[in-house]
Amino acid sequence: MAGIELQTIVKTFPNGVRAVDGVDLTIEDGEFMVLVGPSGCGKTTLLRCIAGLEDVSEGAILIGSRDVTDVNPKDRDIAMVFQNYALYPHMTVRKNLAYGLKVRRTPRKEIAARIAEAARILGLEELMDRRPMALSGGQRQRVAMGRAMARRPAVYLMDEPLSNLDAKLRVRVRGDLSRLHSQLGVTTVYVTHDQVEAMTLGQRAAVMNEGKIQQVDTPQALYWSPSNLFVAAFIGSPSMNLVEARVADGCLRFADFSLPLSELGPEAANLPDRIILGVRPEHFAQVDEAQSPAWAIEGEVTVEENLGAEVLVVFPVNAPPIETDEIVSIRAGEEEEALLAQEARALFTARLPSGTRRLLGSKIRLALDPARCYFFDPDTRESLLSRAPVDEPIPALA
Amino acid sequence: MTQGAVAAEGVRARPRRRKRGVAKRLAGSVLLHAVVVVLAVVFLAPIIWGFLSSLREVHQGVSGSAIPRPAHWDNYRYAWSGLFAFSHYLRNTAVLTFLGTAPAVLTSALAGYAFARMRARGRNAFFIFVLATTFIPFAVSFIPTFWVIVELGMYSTRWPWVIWGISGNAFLIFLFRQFYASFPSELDDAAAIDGAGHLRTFIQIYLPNSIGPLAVAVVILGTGWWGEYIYASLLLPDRLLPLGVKVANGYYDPGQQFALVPIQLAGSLLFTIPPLLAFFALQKRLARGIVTTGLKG
Repeated sequence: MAGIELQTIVKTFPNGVRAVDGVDLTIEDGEFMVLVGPSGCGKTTLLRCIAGLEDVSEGAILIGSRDVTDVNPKDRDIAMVFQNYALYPHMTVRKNLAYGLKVRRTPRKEIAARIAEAARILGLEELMDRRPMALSGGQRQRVAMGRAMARRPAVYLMDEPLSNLDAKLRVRVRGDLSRLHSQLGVTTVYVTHDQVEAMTLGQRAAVMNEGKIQQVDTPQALYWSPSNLFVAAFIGSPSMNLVEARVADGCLRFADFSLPLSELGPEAANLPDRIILGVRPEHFAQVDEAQSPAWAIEGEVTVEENLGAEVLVVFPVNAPPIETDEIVSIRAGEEEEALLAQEARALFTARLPSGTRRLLGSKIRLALDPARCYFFDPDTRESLLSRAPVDEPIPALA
Repeated sequence: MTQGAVAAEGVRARPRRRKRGVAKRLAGSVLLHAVVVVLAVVFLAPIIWGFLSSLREVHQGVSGSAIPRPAHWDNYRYAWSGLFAFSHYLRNTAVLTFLGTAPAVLTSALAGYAFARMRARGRNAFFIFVLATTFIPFAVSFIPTFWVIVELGMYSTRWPWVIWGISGNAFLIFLFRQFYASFPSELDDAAAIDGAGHLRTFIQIYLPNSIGPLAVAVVILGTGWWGEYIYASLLLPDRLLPLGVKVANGYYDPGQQFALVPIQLAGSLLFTIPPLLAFFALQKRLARGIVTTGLKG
């Protein structure tokens, strides 16, 4: 086994696109590291650089303190699981598992033993004489994993291996992957655009955007203490509510609301005139007219989703939505798939407990906890006030 | 009109529309079958005529009634062993077809793989150049090719067929390139990580998954070489001649006065049996290959 060290990796394609832009990252021996980010952020390119499938333009890659920057993929002691599994269609499962070992001239007995072990762990014994075409998506995924396992590499590289599975199976395989990693303890780099995968699988996750790492930390820290606007907006589902606000006369003003800054304590003095305010959906609490919390906002509910364990309500606030580059890049995929054109006003989402009475079309009054609000600089997009990680389950994943 | 009346009208209109649709489909089907029958007659008529004429009396030529009585089946025995050793020239044809086809199919597949999968500067320009060679008419290249063969001392040998074989075929290179371009690139990546180089990847991963296009290539090139006439008749001595040339020129009466047409036709039909058998053997793979390579226009 081995750790991985990426030293200022740059990858520029012949067409001039800088897919990876100066990435420094140390992955500990045995660690499960997730590279997460929106489509086109450079995460797969970075993984392919580690695999040796792409040459790096600048920088160095060390696997187990050996510089492998110019080493062939086969000599890097890695195994990779691909998004479409890349099983050899004309070979049986057994031959697929054995191929890499055969090419490396591993003794026959050793090959048989390793295949048997991988098949036992992954429950492939019944499928050994089938060809990939005769397997379901989940079975193919297991064979792809088995092929990697049989090699007994120092590092596993996984490129969105669950994305072709249906939602139910994905949850199950996610759990299996996690168990497998604890069992084998092999250093794993896992690429995904799905933040739930990133948060549940990764011991640490590196959030990427435009070829750069935005923040590397534990899932808890990424969620509760985002270092910048991109991480705050990307991590969490539904995502953090964001709105531009002004600091004036001791109050934070946005839309038709005015929130007294005194509630923030001495931290308030560090805020500039303009800020981007962020509130996670679960940090709203419904209040009635009789209650008068220090920070409260109102809105008319336009969408209500009762998910059983919780209710999500969406309401517009009278302020323009945040349209920074980061937010646009996160939304790029969503916008293409969206049914309706984007609202001119910012839409807030609140996560309320189950049993909340029907709210669609009615006015809602919500209290905010100032200690759980996030503040970002609209120019640098950096977080302005530090928020310590909270030892609570992350709502979307709980 | 009341709502009920509209609904009733709709109910009456539906079967009429359905009837019209059935009639339209039937007419289309009849027309399609008529076209297929006409085409079948056009293609089969010469073969049937050749078969019937091959059963005529040797000196009768092609005249006389459509169905010869009595049928001279002896013509086939005579075509096989009467004037020359049919099997010897059949073997020659098989050798020339093999030399011109087998290596060409492999080298074309290899070149197609390289054009589809290997990154190199000028790859696309070179591919267009290779493709452009298919537009050079045979009449233009024929004399220079003949001259080069003579200058290289390959006249009266089978070496030209070896050279043509290993140098591949531009059309087949195009065919394989298109086919391999449709393979997911992750297969190459997986093979590279498994430790396979380009040649191993081609032989162990790509070739076994190319049975369809290989069948197409063998049939296209093989039938071409099987019936090749001009180069063979100009370059080869009698002992190396393929059957096609021999059948066309070898069936004369002992005095070389006139061609023994019924025997010539019997020989020709015997000559077409091996490629027909090969076609039937490869038929399924051929159909799949035509679909996977996008040959069907």
